[in-house]
Amino acid sequence: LDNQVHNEKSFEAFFRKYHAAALRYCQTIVMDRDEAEDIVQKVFVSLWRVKQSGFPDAEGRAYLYRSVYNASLDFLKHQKVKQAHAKETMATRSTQIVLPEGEQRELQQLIHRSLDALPEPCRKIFMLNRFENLKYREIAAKLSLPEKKVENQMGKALKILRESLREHLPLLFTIILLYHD
Amino acid sequence: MIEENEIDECIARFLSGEAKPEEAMALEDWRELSTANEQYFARCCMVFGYPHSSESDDQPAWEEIKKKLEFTGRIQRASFLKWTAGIAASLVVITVAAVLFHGDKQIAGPDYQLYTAGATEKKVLLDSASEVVLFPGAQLIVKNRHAIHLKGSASFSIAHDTMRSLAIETGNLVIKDIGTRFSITTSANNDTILVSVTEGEVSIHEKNRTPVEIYAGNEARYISATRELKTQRQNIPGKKDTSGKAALKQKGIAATEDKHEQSSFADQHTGQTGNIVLGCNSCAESGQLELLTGSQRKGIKTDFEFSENPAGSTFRFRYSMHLLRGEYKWLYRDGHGNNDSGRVTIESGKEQLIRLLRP
Repeated sequence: LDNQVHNEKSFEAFFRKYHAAALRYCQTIVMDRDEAEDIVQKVFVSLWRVKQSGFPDAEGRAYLYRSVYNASLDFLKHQKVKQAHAKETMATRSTQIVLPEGEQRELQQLIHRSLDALPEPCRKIFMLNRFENLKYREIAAKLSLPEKKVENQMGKALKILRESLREHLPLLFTIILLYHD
Repeated sequence: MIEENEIDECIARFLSGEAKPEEAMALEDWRELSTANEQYFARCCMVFGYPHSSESDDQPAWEEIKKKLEFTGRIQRASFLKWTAGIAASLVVITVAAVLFHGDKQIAGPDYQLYTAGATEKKVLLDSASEVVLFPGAQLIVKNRHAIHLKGSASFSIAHDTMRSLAIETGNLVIKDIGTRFSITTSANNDTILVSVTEGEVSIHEKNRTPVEIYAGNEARYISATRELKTQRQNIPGKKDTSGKAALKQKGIAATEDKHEQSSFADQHTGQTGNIVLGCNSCAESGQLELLTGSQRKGIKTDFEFSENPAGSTFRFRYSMHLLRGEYKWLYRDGHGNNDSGRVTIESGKEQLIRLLRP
């Protein structure tokens, strides 16, 4: 029993250390907080069942990320099949921040204003990625550009937008701090 | 001059859901490197429309998983006693303390130990390499050999262990540490908390506020009534961290210069920019310098040209917020197949000289 308790404790420590990061990672792929929570939970449960006997940290972490990655891609695949089947427009997956009304609007306006100021094809690429949820590969095919270029332009868009946000830092920090609560 | 784009590309890939597991892990490592990196990442999250909070609450998720796994009773009880932030924590502390206190000086619970110093100092060993000295009247609660709650004053000497980052609560403050020496002094009426760091660094935050990092030779003073957290530099001669300098000198290929020794603490703390000077006595050409952090495969690259003075050239570039304080491995390459490498410690607000050894 002592051994069991020890394993459970080290599993809990492992969970506490990596859960938030795993969730963050999963959410970027499936773009849905609730689904991501489900997926990550299943991964942790199966991880425990497979590796109950011991938990080398680094190895466990790599296994965790790999599992989250695979499970997320599986989820997207299933979702695509479902979508094709039903052929109805799915509610747009929400990646928007839920903020108090006024601040939400202000932040969105700020991002939209900055978006218009992006040079082409940076703006177009960013819009396709963020608002039409296209993968880098899909954007590259659509615009007949090398994928590397898409990657590069996404980085550039992030840089410009991040800097324009930085000018409005006081507001944004209030928002971020609200999230700490 | 620095290709900030590189880190932006990594983050954009991550936030677009394009990151492979290894990239995601590398980015998490980068993010955890410093508070500035956290904030940088937080802004990127805003751009992509993700809420970002560095301290998420894992408790509900853990409760659900525990149910599914049918863990034994003991561990559930441990979690039930789990400390949470804010008032809840103080209530739990009071409850636990009351249960454990029971007349004696030191009573062990299943997961918690309470130590109390009477009229004299009391030494508490957390493990073979870490100890806490409690000053008279202080109380310390230890869970699984981690000090987690302090009432009163104490000094800490904690061995470096990446698996065991420590978070100590005292009053409204949470003090996090990874391998360091520091002390916490609380005034008699609990009005002021002074944290002073003699070695390594600690991160301090008032509950629900942004953390502040305190480096060796500095201290932070917190005034409970006004909830003010002020940082200041102590004047301890010879206390500055010179480990990087020594390491570089030993190799005989580089030296560091502290041009801004007197920079204020505010600079050091936010210190998101500084200079790196590349020096070479015999080269008059261009090359590439790359700085790599611990586990990051991709580092920060910059191209440079020695143009100022061919006979003893230097090249100066500014580094920005993602090149924060810490030790970096540097790699130098030029068009003639010459390579050089070494380690450099970047300290905020200071100028670092990397001297290249050329054949």
